Amino acid sequence: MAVLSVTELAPIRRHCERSVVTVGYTKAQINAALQAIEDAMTTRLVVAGYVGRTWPQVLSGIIDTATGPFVFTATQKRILLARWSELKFDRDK
Amino acid sequence: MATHRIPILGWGTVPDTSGNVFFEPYDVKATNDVWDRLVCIFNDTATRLGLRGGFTVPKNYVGTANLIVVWTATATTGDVVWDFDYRAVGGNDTESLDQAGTQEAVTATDTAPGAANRRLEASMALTATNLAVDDEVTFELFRDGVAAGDTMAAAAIVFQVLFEYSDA
Repeated sequence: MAVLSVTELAPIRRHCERSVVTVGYTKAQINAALQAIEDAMTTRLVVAGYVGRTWPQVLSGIIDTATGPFVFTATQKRILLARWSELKFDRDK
Repeated sequence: MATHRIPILGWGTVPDTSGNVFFEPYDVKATNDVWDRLVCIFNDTATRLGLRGGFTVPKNYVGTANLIVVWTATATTGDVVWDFDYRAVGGNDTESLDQAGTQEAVTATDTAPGAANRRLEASMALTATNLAVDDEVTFELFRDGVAAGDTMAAAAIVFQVLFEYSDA
C-alpha cells in the first residue's frame, strides 16, 4: 500500500473534474476515494462482508466506507477508477 | 463620496509558469456554450498558483481600498483561498519599480457557488494608506492550493479582478 502524494492526487482530481458537469465533492472526499482504490488494489483485503458480491460492488463499498457519509455516484466511481488506473499504468508512456 | 470599481487585468497580466493558470474561452467549462469570452483558470492543485499584473491608482482615489475577485466554478462545494500580494510604487524618479518583497499580502477564503457557474465576489481589504494617486501597483493574485482551507476540487474561473476605492 502506498500513500498517494499530493502531486499524484492533483492531476487525477483535474481529470475527474473534466469528466463531470458539476463537482459536488471536496478535495478531501475525492482524495479519500482515490486512496481507498489504491489501498484496495495493492493490499491483501479481508472482504468477509462482501462474500457473494462482484468485484465492482466490493470496490464501491470500500470507496463508500472511505468517503462516508458522502457517496460518489456509480459513474463517478468508474471515472475515479479509470483515472487511478491511468496514474498507475500510464506514467511511463 | 462615491465608490468606484476599475478592472485591473490588462496587457501587463501574465500567468505564472506552472501551466495551471491560463486563459481560455469560458465555453470550455460552461455548458451552454453561448458566452465565449476569455476567462482565467486557476486549476485545482496542491501548489500556490499566481496571476501577475499591475495597474495605476486613479486620480480620484482617496481611500477604502478593496480588491475584488469575480469568479465562479463548476463545483458546488468546497472553498478557495485567494491571496493578493502587491507593492505600490510612486513618485517621478524617486522610487524603484524593481523592489524585493511585497508591501502587503491579504487573503480571503470564499465558498464555491451554490449552483455551478453562479457569479461570486471575493473581497479583500487593502491598507488604504499604502496607496496614493498615480502609484504603479504591481501585484500577484494567487489561488493558494497549499492552504488547508482550499478544499474545492475544481478549477476557479476568474472573470474579473477589480480595484474598489472611494473618492472625495
